[in-house]
Amino acid sequence: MNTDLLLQLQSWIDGELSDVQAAEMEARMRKDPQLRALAAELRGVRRLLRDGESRREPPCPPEFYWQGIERELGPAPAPAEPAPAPARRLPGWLRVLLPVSAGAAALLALFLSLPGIFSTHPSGAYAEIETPLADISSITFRSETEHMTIVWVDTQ
Amino acid sequence: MARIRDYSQATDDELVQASRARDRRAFEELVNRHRDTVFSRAFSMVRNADDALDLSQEAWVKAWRGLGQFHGDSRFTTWVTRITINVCLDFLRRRKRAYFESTETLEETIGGVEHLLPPVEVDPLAGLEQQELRKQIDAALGALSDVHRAAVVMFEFEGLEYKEIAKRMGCSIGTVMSRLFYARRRLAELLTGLKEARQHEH
Repeated sequence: MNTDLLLQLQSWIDGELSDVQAAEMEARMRKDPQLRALAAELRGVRRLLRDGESRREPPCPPEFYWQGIERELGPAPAPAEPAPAPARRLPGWLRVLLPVSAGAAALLALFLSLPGIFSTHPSGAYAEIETPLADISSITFRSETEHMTIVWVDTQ
Repeated sequence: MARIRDYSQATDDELVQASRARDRRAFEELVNRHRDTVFSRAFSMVRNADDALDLSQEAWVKAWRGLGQFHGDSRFTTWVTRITINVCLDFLRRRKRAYFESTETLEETIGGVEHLLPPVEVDPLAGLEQQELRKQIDAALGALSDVHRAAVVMFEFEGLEYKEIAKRMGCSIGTVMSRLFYARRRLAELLTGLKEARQHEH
């Protein structure tokens, strides 16, 4: 058997021959037991493979699998902004008063924070202020789909 | 287009439509549904879980970017697995193992196929459970070279015709036929050997 004949036999099994070619191959097979045996083998392999692909799961949890994809997709498109509620126009006197009040509140806060003012410490000395930032570690997680950022602060 | 209220209840078509409108949650649902199929196909091609993981994810990213080209002529899963096949073929080319594949490739091109062993009887009804059968087939596929396995996966699992495989593999139809023939004969040999080995065990 030459290579062309073998490949033609396979094409016949795979349904890739024309009707005329297929008829010729069938006639040839009737006379050739070796060709029939080979056809049976090739058909057997095809039958085995028909439903033979193993189904596998990725070696990571589903959320990690998705995150790996999402990272490559880039930032999620911004959600549609809700239509702004019609703003109520403030009365003229309030529009002037609001910035003035805010400034006054800021000045008052600054004044109260000056050392010695309203100090409750018996000795009048400055109270120790702890600055624990050096002992703090934090992990930030950003979910683009949820539009949410979570900051995990660990003080241990 | 109506907004999807319950993604888990939506059909693939609805999710595809929403994904084309850049709805990430819809696409995430498609990934969740068909993750295993895409990963399995990538694994069949490259036979390594870590590579298959990366390649299947890459295929999903390409699918997201190319959603505009999906017109619903085939099922969504077919479209994604075709992308997966292309990504895996690119990977195999990069790996260049195909070019170093030795005597097997040489034999198929110089016509060594007719010198293989006489035909063997491959009986799929040999009493193996489906799961066991798949395991045996998996082991046999794993023993094939990259080019032979790729041809088998594309023809048998992906349902591609000779000319489609040739186009994707960048070779002639004759080479595809030769690769398939060699791969099948080798599989027959391996599966018979595995079956006999199993019978000896019992």
